[in-house]
Amino acid sequence: MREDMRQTEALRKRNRWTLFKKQKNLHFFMIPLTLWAFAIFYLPITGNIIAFEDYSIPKGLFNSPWVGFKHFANFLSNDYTLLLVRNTLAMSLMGLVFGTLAAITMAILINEISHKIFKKTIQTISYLPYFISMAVCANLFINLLGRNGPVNDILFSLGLLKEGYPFLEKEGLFWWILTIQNIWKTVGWNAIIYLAAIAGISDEIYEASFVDGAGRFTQLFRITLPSLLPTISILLILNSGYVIMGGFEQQFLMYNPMVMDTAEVINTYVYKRGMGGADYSFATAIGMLQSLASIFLLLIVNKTAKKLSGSGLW
Amino acid sequence: MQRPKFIKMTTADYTFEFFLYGFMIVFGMMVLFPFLYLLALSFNQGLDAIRGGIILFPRKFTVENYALIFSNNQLLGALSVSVLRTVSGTSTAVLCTALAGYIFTKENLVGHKFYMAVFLLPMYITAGLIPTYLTYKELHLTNSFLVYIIPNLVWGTNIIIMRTFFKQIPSSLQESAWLDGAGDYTIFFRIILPLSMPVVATIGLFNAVWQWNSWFDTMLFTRNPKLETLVSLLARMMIEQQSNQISVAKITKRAKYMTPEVLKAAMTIITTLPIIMVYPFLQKHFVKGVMIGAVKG
Repeated sequence: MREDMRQTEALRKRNRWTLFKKQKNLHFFMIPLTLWAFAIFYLPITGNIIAFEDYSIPKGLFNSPWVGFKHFANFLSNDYTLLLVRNTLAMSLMGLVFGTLAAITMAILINEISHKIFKKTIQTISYLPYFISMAVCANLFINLLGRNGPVNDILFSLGLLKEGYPFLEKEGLFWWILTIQNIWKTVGWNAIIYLAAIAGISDEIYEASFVDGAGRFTQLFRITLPSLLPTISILLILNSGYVIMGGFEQQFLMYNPMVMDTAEVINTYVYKRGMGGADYSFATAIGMLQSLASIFLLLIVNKTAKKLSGSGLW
Repeated sequence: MQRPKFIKMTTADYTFEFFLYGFMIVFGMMVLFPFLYLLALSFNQGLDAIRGGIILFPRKFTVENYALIFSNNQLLGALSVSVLRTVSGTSTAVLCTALAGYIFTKENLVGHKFYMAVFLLPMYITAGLIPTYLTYKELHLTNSFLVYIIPNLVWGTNIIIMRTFFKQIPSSLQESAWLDGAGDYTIFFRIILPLSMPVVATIGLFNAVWQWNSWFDTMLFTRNPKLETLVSLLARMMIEQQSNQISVAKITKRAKYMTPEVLKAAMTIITTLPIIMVYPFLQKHFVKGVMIGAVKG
């Protein structure tokens, strides 16, 4: 019996090898591409080792002195860390919460439009900012909100302002400006997925509810929103890890020295310390802590969602 | 409101529709207004624009902002690098992504699961900024045009989108070609690819928009001014203005009434224009792509 099994096992192995030789054309492409993936994606991951060293370029990975958790401890005991984490979480959460609300509202409203061409036009316009580079988007907003930009002009001509108001130099406004910019850029795009979910709800449910006397709002709260709930929760779980990873391009292009205390996020700080100050090891340690925190967040949110609604990602 | 088609609309319904359409028109204008404002600004004389008060139309009309871009070597160079990286980056990425997607449809491939894991894992685990920079430096990718091409060859989501599309093609087509003696690559190039133009367009546009819009990789990986793209130059000008440096903005010194603001406005319009021109194709294919990605991912 055992002899038999060993034979089939040997046969299977030989078959695999014959199969491999038959498929050599395909492996001829896949093997180099896999090596490419290791160089581009996986080699940098092992490069995180420098977080435990005092890395400098001339000494290299192998000769730089080993310092253990020094950089991690440094970052965690730094007063500035709290500020960075606060700013990152605040802007990510505001983007997530208001962005989701805006996208759902947009999807529901677009769905109510009965005129086909009007609907199509509005949708087409609404995606446009999504395809524009963040550099362009930031330049648009800096010009709009500048001292001699149109927002100031309009407020001035309405008599609401006496002189040019520097919106982008106010610490208290920065989070809101970025949230609005974020919604402006992504609301149309993010609405697509909710529109698809709404389209998936059967017409019969709505018609039956209409016959039973349900009005617009009853339908919204009793049919549409409950049907969207699974989509909303999946997207929220998926994005939960991103809450601590988020933010870079927007802040990096929009901020200025006047608003640094509310504008600096973990990613911009990592860039400044790493690329500006050549503090490679310290910056890498921050990045590692950030990744760990994001995985941790994802696990917790998924578990909570499972307990509350009975369904998570896995 | 969802209702049977034959029921008449009430006054409340008409009021609702009125506000709905009104809101949508305001929303549409708010999306478009920043572009129109920058368009007006880009055609306005620089010193005059400082006074403010421009809303939709230029006050002192001039084309010198655009003329400067098309006569200045640095800006022309940046424009050509933008075009070059978009064209070469997109074509290589589409080819590699399509081939990988095609090979991933073959479930009996030895090591199928391993290959899948190799390309899907990076969607969830990323290395971080500094280790990536240092590794690319070791690989001699920095300060080279290749840094725009090599790291962007394939991306997990795009492979999955391609694979999903290829799987819908009836396998009988491949089998009959195979019986006629066609090899894997012949089948791919002669049968699969011609039948998959919609998804090729989707992935191509994904990549092209990504390449055209990228600026941070230029800033992170290159120190060579010859590798600057139009968008990265725009970003650099904005960042320099945050800290009151003028090395890039000094381009404007040669023109008498020019300011960095109107130059940036003209650069913004030039970077936006190609996107708007391909936009009709773009949105159709992108929406399709995001649906496939959402179903599978």
